[in-house]
Amino acid sequence: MIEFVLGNALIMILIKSFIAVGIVFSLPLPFTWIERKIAGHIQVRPGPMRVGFHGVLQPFADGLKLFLKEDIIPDGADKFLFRVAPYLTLIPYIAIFVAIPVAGNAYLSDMNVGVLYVLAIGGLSIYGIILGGWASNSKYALLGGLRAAAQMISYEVAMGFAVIGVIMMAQSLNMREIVEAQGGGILSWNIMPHKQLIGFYIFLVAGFAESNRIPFDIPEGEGELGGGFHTEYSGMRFSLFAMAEYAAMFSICAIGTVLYLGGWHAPHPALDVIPGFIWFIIKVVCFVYIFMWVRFSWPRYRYDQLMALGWKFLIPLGVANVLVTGLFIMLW
Amino acid sequence: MELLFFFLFATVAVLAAVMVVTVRNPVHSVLALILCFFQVACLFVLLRSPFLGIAQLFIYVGAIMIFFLFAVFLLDIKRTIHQERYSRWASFALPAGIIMLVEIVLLLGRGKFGAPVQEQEAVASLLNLGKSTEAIGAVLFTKYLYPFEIISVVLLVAFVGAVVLTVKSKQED
Amino acid sequence: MIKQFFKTVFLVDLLQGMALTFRYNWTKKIITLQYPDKEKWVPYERFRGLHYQAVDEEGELKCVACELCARICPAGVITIEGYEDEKGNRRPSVYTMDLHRCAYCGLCVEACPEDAINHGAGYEFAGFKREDAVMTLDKLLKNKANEKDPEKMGTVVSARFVRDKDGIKVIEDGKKRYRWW
Repeated sequence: MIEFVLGNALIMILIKSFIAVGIVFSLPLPFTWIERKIAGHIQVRPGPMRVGFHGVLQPFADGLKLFLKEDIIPDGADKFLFRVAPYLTLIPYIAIFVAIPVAGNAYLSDMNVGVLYVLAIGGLSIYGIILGGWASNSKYALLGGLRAAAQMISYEVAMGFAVIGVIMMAQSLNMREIVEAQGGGILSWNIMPHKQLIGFYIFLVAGFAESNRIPFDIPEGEGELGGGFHTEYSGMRFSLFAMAEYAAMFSICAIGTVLYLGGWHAPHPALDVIPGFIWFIIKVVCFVYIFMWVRFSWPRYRYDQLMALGWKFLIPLGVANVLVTGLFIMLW
Repeated sequence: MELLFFFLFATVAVLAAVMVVTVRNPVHSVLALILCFFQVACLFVLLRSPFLGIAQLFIYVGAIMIFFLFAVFLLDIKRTIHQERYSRWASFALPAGIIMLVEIVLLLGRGKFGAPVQEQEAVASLLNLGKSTEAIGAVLFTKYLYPFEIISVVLLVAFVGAVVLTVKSKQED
Repeated sequence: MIKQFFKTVFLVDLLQGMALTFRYNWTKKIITLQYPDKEKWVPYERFRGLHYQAVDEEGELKCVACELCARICPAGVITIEGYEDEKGNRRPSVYTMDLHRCAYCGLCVEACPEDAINHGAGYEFAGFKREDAVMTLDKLLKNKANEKDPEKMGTVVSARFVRDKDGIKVIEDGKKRYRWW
């Protein structure tokens, strides 16, 4: 039986897809709770407390509420695209999780162009946002969608430049090999100043922008656009957009962990007794905490400031980072 | 197995390509084009060149088509839907299409698709999947260095051209 | 000048802000009012909450069913039917306020010559049925008057949340009391 399953490519593909889908669909539940708790404590209030112990069941209650709500399709909307857009946003993130190695021998697919795949697929989720914005037949939603597209294109470039540095250090596009190149203690992780700290900084800022989170959540811009691309969405479709936002944040964190924080490697070789996937999860959770921490500490950027930061600061910095990295690799 | 996926991707690609020209709503037609490009990327992966497939995703699906969508969003969709479908360019396009079809059929009949055999083998030896990116890099920066650099210069010219255009229009205002 | 430059480059201000929020994140301090579960706010004396019918020292209704309140009410909230009791006083047999339409403008309270209808301290208007917002005479008699004790008004008092067959209530127990600010 096991040989049959392992040998049959189609069944393996199905199993792997189920794992990826399962990860993406189950993550928002704990993370909405954690995010709301962090929001609460940062703002000196307790956060959700009423459903279950300290509100742990709150995400289920929210999910149930969104599930039962009426699904409104606005008059004059492009009905087909309006229905499809949330899925288009979510599916790329499911596809990303296929390529991320959780431990040395735990990955769904070992692609030799893993990094490029992850970046390319991650960029596709923008179609859901831009089409959702357009199909809503609403000014605010369209503006949100256009902003999202402009932001995504600009920051994709910056993120690409940041990642080139890592690829140069590891001499490979394979995610697994990039992690292996960072083995042997915290000093050989790419986040270290003598490695790719600037690259990490660019990656982090671009990551905030790619996942449409504060301080770069202008596509939503609830102050000026009343919700941006998901202004007209309600019920289940809205929750799919919310889920996609969490999946985006989580995928950026996982990619960042692989590229800069040494993936499944322990900070010191002596700590390798703890299995790799636990280290991976710890690192991703810390990364996610930074995302949430920033969200509740900083205000939002203005649209032109955001564009200026991307094109006039991050991209030149990224190019410089690539050149300096290349120089150091040549010299050593 | 592979054949199954080939037929899946190929059929969807062809259907999407047909939809691009038959669908009335320009946004839908752009979407069909995206789907078509996506399927072509999948076909590249099946042809053992994942790098090309990902590059297709990156450049065509990820970047160019977003600008396409931008442009199409600015159209008056309702008017475009009710426009006359066959413009005066149809009389030029039809012969061009027929000529291309004839060429494809001729090439298929002679079996002239693909690179010469010895070159194919040389590439194939490099192409044990895990090394395909290295192979592309090596070929691109040795054998095809001049075309590569010329393309870079062309792109740079386009860059500068874009900047010049915007600066000029600002001065006129 | 140079100091300012380094402050900008290394994002010192932003990091200071983040240090502050990080500190808050790991303290247990809570400055918000834990309304239904633990605490409740006591309104001030002139708070315009749910209406109540006042009674005199003998426990007799003050209302004489003069219908001035019903006349002045801009939304037509109040319905009154009067009758004459054994002592020969005019009293309301029906006094119903449909608070769905009430704007809490207080005109009825101003108009009342006997100080019978008053604004009280209740602010929990929510209910599960439409009838919950229709105040009959019984309910108006039960509603709470505003706190007159200057020590108690405007304070937060400890309370507990009760859910039983009558619906949900937040009951003050008065064990702890503090000023919110």
